[in-house]
Amino acid sequence: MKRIHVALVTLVVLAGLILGLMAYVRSHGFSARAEPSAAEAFVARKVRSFAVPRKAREAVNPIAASPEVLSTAMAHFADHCATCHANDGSGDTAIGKGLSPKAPDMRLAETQNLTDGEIYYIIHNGIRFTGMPAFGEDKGDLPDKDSWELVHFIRHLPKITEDEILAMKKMNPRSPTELAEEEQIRRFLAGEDIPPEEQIHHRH
Amino acid sequence: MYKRFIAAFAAFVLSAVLVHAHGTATHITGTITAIEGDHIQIKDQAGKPVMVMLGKTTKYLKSEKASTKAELKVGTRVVIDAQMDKKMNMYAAEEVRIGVTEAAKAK
Repeated sequence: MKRIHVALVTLVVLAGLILGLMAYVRSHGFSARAEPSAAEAFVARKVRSFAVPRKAREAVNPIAASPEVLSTAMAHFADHCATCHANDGSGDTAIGKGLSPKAPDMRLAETQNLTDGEIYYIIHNGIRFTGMPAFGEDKGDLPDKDSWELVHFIRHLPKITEDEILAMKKMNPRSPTELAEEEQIRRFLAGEDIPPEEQIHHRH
Repeated sequence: MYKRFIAAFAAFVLSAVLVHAHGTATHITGTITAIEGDHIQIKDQAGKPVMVMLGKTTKYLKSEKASTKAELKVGTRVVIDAQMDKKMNMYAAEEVRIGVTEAAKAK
């Protein structure tokens, strides 16, 4: 009798959850434009933290910080990460702002207060159901050098300089159209007149 | 395993589908025709006037190096990365790339 009672309560709770979820989806749709509510963000962060194994959270960066490591990681970030996270880590890009949840401002405490191990774990494994993919090869317990180097760069983001951001701009991936547009901009700024039929108008 | 299952389920319940949206960022290419405080007027390459707001966060670049608003003068060629500010119904500059002035070009 007690088992039937437990099963019934479980079913009612599950049905309530499903109905609640359906009502939420119907009222909010699937648009990624809306900011997640404070409660949603809080719970999601807690779940993410809970999902990182303690051993991974406490892992120490096996790569010592140096100007060379920072330079390599900066180039890597500009090429692989900046499309969503922006060169300065602000997340202020067309894609970063359009994600749900939006790409975080990694210069802020929310990211900087994570342990090195947590940052590494997120880069290496990604975060399911968000725009964050897993990077680097899965080598079991062997460290993923590129991701550990990126941890150093992420720690550097709060004090990144304008000159560094400018240098990164040259390393960002570009489509042939964007490259052609850049060349046209260079010619225009140097004083050349670009015939209307040649003008490229690329929108982001 | 159980923890991971709970985490994955909770994440599923809380997450929306990954999509990416296109913003309203655009390049404005032209020559400055007027400077009024925090606004500049540009004559774009099609000859149309475009008003652009300059903000505290606007970045300025000249010859791929950081520059300042003081470099902007009437007749200067600029390429502006801007977002449409829907409230003001005007473009807000994010980055201004500064080129030659028409006077310098004529020399």
